[in-house]
Amino acid sequence: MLGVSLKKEFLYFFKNVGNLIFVFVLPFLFILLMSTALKDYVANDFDTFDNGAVFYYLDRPTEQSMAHLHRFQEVLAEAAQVKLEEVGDYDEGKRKVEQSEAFGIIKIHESSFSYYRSPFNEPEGGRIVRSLFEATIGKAIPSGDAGISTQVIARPKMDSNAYFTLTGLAFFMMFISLMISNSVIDERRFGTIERIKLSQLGLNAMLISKAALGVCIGLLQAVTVYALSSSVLGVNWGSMTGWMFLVLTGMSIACSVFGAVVGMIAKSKAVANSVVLMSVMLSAYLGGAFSPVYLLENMNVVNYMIQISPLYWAGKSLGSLHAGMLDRNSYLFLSLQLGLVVLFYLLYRILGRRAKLVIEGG
Amino acid sequence: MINMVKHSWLIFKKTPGYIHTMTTFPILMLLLITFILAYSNTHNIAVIDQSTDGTGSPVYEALSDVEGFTLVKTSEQDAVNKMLAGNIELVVLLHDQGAAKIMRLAGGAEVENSVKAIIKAVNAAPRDAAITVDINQVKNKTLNISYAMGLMLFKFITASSTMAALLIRERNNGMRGRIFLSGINTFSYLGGKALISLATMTFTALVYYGVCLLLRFDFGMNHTIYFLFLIVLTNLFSVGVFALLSTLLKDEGALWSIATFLFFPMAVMSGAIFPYDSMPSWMQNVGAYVPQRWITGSIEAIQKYDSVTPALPHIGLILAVSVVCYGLALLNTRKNRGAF
Repeated sequence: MLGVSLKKEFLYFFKNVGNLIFVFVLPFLFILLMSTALKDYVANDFDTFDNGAVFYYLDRPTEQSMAHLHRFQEVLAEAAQVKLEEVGDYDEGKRKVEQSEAFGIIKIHESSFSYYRSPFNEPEGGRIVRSLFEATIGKAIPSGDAGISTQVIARPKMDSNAYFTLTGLAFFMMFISLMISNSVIDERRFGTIERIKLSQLGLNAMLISKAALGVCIGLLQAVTVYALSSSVLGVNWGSMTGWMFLVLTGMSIACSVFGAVVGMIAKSKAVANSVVLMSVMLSAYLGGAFSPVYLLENMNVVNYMIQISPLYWAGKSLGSLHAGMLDRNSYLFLSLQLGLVVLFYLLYRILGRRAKLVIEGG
Repeated sequence: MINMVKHSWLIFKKTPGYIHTMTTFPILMLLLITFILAYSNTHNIAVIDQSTDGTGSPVYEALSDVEGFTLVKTSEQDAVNKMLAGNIELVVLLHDQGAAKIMRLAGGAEVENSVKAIIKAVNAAPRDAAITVDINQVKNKTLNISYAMGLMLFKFITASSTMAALLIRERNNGMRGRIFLSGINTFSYLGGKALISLATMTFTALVYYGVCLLLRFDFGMNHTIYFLFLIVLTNLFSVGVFALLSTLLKDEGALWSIATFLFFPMAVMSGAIFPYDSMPSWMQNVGAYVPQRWITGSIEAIQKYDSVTPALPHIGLILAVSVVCYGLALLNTRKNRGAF
């Protein structure tokens, strides 16, 4: 009987072209887009000083001022690869600064240095250059290392392809709850849920078949992404791939049971969609699906808020496994999933006892 | 027409959750994402003062004063893991007699040499007393609006899906047919819905803009009113596109798929979410044809050139697409007046 129920679920799901696109196309498309667009962000490369320039305007400078200016020019070139360019019209130079053609303009009048920055659109590189100006102008800065040593850490950092492959896949798996909730709503709309409840199968069997469908969708997504990310993006999943699949399977079970609970509570598909989408998107924002998670971890308050997102823990766990470490992050995430499955199952049982499950007008 | 506007307002008002969906929730969400989604270009560095002779303290102060650097607290033990996770770009260990050690990953750090210059400046002899230095003062700003601009535009562009859902529902349940039988013409019917939708979204935009001004957010432009103007233009685009979609879709359920899986990738491509200039060229080429790019491009142009003139071609394109979409929606609705 359970087999028949499972077969029905699969046939119903996979006859829809949209569902096939969702499983096989969209996750990788999302990963491709995000990993390409955020490549520099994940690598902490912001092009801060690219094509940067600082103008200067000479208004009867002293010889000493000129010497200071030349020293600053050397400092700027070494520290930020930003060049100094002379302009003949100060007001025109200021206008160009406001039009983002330079980080700022320095007016040298006798022995005074006035730095002008745009009052409304100073770029990040401009702020650093201004700070350099403030700290170094008029000082004899030694060239070379001058007592500063550098230690280079040779360990590789996770790149954007690997980051978004893992986080993006986990994010897309969360949409399984949307499909399962819609599937349960359909059972309620068409009245089949009452028949299932009264049959030998009972509502537990319905949950098992829905969860099995969810796990299959999740595994198909994972296998597709694994194959495409390895071959197209060159992502090396590492030696813990089996554990990563286990974590993802756990996630698909938790999402399926969550979807089933929402399907049991919601009065319509629209309500179910809103609840699931809001939960998924909130979890995605906080979990690092749309921005590298380090940006969120570095922000006060937000660094606590992100911990409510299952996606954040999924990313942590998958990140550790990708680095070849089966550590606290994975145990914590697997325990969290188990706890959520138990909680959602209890809710499902309680809701399933309601006298009337069929939706009016369904 | 006026009656239709009034009727549309009543219908929208009676729709459960409409007011909250269109005003309260978006405003809260937009403010929240402005805080949360910080695609900030600030450089995070860790400075650990291990000096015992007090020479580390002025260096620490000088580095914390650099605008564009954010100092992250960490221990030396956690520092490498934080670098590997991307939380920090480099670590500065300050030792006695002004000595310092910089730890960074093999890939390099953009601001390494700037950090070195600041350390050397602190350790150098005091500034030549003969010279004077001044920098123009600017108003203190808080968060940069650009950080969350992509999702804000995404939210405004998809906001008219509520209007589209209502139009589809009224068509499918026969309400629209009955309205047309009462003598209301297509222009008034669609216009009423569009005007109310636009007015509600404009109200939301106004409140959001006002709150941003109050919180002294950084708009990156001299005349911030242009920003409000462009959001209203986005609302207009949203109304046009979703009015058209309401005539093409059979079921309102498909609206969320379009909002999520069509408009979000378009937002990614458009440079609304991440800096357009740092995207690969193939992505920029695709993004150039995406309407969100025209909106983002207009905002960028105004920010960059402090004038609305360079943004006019993009503004014209948005207006044209909005009008064409709305016109097609009118035609489709007129053609299928009796369709259920």
